[in-house]
Amino acid sequence: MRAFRWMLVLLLLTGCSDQRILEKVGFIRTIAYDLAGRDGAKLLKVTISIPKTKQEESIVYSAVARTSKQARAIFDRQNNRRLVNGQLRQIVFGEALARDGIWSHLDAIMRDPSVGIHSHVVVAEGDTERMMTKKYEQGGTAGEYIDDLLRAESASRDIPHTNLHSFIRDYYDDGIEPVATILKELPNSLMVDGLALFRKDRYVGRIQGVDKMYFGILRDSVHMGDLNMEGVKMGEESVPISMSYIRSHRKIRFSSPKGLTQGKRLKVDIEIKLRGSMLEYYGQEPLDSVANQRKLEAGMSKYVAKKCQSLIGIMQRSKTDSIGLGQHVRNAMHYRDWKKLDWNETFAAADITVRASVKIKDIGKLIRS
Amino acid sequence: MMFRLGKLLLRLLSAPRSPTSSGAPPARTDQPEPTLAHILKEFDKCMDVSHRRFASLGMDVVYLSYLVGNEELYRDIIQPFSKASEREAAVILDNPPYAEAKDATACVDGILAGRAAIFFRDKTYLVKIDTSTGRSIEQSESETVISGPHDGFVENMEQNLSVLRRRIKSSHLKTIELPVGEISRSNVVLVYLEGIANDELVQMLIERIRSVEIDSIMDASMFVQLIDENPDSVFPQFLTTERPDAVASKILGGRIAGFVDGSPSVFCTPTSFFDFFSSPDDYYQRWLLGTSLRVLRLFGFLITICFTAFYVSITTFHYEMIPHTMLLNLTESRSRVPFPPLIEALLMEGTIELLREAGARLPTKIGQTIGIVGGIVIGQAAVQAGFTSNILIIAVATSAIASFVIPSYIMSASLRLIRFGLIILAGILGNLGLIMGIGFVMIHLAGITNLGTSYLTPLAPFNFGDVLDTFVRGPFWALRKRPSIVKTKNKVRTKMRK
Amino acid sequence: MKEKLNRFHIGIFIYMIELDVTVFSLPRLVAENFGTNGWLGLLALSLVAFANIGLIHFVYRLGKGRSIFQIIETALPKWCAYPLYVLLAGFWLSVGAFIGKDFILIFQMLAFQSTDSMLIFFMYCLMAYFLLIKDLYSIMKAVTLFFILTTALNGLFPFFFQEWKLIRLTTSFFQDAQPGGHSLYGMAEMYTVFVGYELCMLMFPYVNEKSKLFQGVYFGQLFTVFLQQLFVWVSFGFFSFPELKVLSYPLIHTLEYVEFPFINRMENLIFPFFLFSNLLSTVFFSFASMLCLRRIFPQARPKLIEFFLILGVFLLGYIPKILRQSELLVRHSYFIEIGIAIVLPLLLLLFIKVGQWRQKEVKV
Repeated sequence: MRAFRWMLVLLLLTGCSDQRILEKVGFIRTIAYDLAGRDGAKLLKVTISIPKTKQEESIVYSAVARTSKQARAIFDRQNNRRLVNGQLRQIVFGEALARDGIWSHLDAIMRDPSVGIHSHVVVAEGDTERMMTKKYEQGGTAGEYIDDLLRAESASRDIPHTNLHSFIRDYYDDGIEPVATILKELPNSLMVDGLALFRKDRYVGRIQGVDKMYFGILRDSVHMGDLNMEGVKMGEESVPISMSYIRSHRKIRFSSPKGLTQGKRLKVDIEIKLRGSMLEYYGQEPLDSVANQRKLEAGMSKYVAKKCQSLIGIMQRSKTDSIGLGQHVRNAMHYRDWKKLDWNETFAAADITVRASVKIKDIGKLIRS
Repeated sequence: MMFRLGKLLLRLLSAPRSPTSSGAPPARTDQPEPTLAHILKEFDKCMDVSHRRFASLGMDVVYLSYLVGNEELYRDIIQPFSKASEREAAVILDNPPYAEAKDATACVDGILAGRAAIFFRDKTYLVKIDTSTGRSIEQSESETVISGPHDGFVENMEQNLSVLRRRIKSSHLKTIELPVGEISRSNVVLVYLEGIANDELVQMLIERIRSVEIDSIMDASMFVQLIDENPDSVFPQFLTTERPDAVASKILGGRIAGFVDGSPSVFCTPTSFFDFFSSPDDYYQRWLLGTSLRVLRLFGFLITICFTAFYVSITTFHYEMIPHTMLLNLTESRSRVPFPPLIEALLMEGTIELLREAGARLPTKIGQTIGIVGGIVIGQAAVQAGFTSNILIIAVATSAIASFVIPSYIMSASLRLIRFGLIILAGILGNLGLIMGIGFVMIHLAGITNLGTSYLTPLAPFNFGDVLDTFVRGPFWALRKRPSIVKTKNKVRTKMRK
Repeated sequence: MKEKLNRFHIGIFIYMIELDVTVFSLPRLVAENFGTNGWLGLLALSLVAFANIGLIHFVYRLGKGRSIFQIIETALPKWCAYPLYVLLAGFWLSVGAFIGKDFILIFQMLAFQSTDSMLIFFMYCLMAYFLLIKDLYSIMKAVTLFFILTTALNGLFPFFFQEWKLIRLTTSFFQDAQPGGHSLYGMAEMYTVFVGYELCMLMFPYVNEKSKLFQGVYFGQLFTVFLQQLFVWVSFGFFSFPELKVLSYPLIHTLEYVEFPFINRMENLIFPFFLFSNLLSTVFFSFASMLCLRRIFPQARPKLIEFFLILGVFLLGYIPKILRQSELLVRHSYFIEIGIAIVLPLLLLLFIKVGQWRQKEVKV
């Protein structure tokens, strides 16, 4: 062991250029990309937010440059600490940029091994620089606020996941398209407001915040979250209802994919099974009777199906298969035929019907209001 | 340069070096007759030598007065001989406990061991009349248990052996006495169960003890360093304990125990690395509890060697591994520290070691004060003064505490030394350095043997039955077999065939 | 007490030597060379490996436990055999060196980008040296420890269930491979993940009848195949298929996903653990080359050959400087190694026959 120690002395004398001592680096927590140039000059505005050691403050840098690396060089010259990507949590794209395509930026981020694949991909509606510099009532800095907001979102309602890993995975996959969270700027706060639908790397469509859960149950099976319904028909009456702790399961059936390449129209049947606890109910009729519960379930089923149908409409109009029907169709076809198929066109033209069956698991502590 | 380096490396982890052997200790060449005159000359200038004469019998008795007990002296010398006739005295001397000494060396050695030399009719007899004035049997200070036997070994070997005999009432329990120490003439007694302990291992150990050349031995922990196979290793290779119940269970498991004159610790062999992590306590608890304790200790082991190093590695190189929730706090507390994490950690670890050493050197009461002053005052002040970050204090304190859950003090000291090595490596190469350090330790461990058995049993070579009694403490119905490391013929615990 | 190796040792030895740098890119290689559901192709390819082991088994039986050197020397004169040994020793040594350097270059992609790679490689060689100077039984003890450490990492698999979907595996087989995928070169590239088992040829003198050498070899190979399948399955369901073809090291990428409340970005901690499996590949290739040299210089001072071998490994490490180059070197030397794995046993069979024939002649 003596010789071992001796070796160490040797090693100690060598350079330590790779040290990233905690307090000597500036971690970029949020990075935002936006278009800056007017009149078609494609300039990029990059904004970064670096938390300071005091939690209430953060440093925000913004620069206009041709590429993100150039902007980065500007920040490096400005900041007193070495900027590092390893704690990157949010990658924000301005709406205009997102419509233009974001791949070149994502590619650069993904290529960097220090960036974690749990970072959120966000589309911002509003001015990204202003969003990140403004003071908010919710306390802390904008970066902190955005971080907390998205974190809380992902803890409870992040359905579907919109992190870097799932974005990139779906970007490459030919049977599903990626989605990202939309962050909307309000006069004195920010809001997670729905989902941005992408076709490859272009932002093409938008799901409203209130419909996010419906999109979630269309995209995959869901095991948590709440579902709000506005006007569920219960007989004659139209009642608002909220279901909590939902569990859903989707089933996809479609007509034979033979002849799709010749332009045959695809017929898809999506069946959603859903159950949850009904904890908010504003109807008049008491729920203690099985018949009434059945009636309500039928109403809710119809409501969910209609809602989902309208979301499918949005996607078909945007020509983007964000719920991954393509994966199922692909698995039913010959791979060569699938490759020939322009799936998004086929999807847009497909005849998709959604059926839902909602079951009330329980109705809470009261049986009558 | 490279060559010197290579030579150094060669020496490191080199092949087991057996103690230089030169056969039995050199015998004295001239053997004068054990006459009274010779013996008195031998003990010239010894104020504690007593010479008593029974003029009527023509008998001389010589002994060292501080070694013998008054009661024994009266019982075996004064009472029988003061009224006996010459014929009666001859009969008495022909029977035990009196024994004839053949030569002067034996006579001198006997007197030195607390016997009385009786010179009668040209013959010399020895009789054991020594008394033990050591501390009485009390609880071991260094190895305490909450439930279970509370006796501990003492400095007197006969007392220790009697304690052991009382625990294992079997005629198979063999005790072999081997003299060690050219000048001090201490005895080492090997104790094992014949038929259970592997004879080859016993022979190997006897050979090795015979070949030891040293002037004196003071303690078992010192002695085992002379007979182990890897004297340059940081790891202790023989388990030393002061607990009779531990020794008894080791012997019953087929191991060999060695008692050393004047030492309250007893060494057991063959030992594996993991034996240092078990305490007799584990067997006195319910097995689930015993298992949890073992697992806890293994965690303690991991924490004590890795935790501070991991802190250094993360704060120096791998900032991205810190979760968001801890990041800002950690940065804030680090931002006031003027040193890089490596220096910071070495400083704090050094301070803790100073405290521990100071506590060990001072009497218990002052030791406690040191603990309070060091632990609370210095720790608090160091953080406030921006000397260290408080997370580091937590890391250092946790690894220090974790090192104390390891029952063997010697092992825990070795692990603390390794910790420093890992911290330095982590400060140079981050996680890779840490893992490399662990790799080095493992490679080193893989090379250690103990009486030719693997130090890493039961992991390598893997043995499932032993794992049940190493990393967990299996229920007694599962512990039917003796450990494989002892290479016993009688594998089943309840069996004792010849 | 001279201990002999047992089946368990041999099994994990085979596993640890096959698990090397190639495993990081394994899922991508499968996707590139086989296309969709390439795991089936990998499984089929492993049958070739089993057949090759069968061939070596046959050599062991015919050779009646003689070492390969003894077999060679029954048929070839010494002046003819020694250059062969030197050639083999040199080649095996460079394989060991290239694996080690490649691992370090990959590691430098993740961290320590600007540290001199030779410095890390020096530490690596140091570890290799400490292992190599031990006797085989002690090396095997270290192997057991490293095996336990690296295999424990497989306990992380449940973390991927959440994001794993069967549908991403697709229902078509071997479609959409990279151009030049379904070719001999592609298959050879795939087969490099199995390279290593052929070193069991050198274990003949270290085992006896009771060790059941080949039970261990087959079991080790089976375990390797099982874990490789697991890696490939996880990656195919965790990433989308086209993505898999662009990720340079999918295995490292999956590790990034693992997150604990007290620690993020586990790949920084887990990846260095693969050091052990690569180290053992280096050590065993160096060990093979040491056996060759020992045969030529049986009188050499202990640890001297080992020292020069590791010095050689270190110096050979200077050859690959960039990742592309080093990957190519590893791949091409593995191609040669595949050749050795097939040709050497055949040659040995020939030598055994020649030896028997000669013996008869002498008797007559």
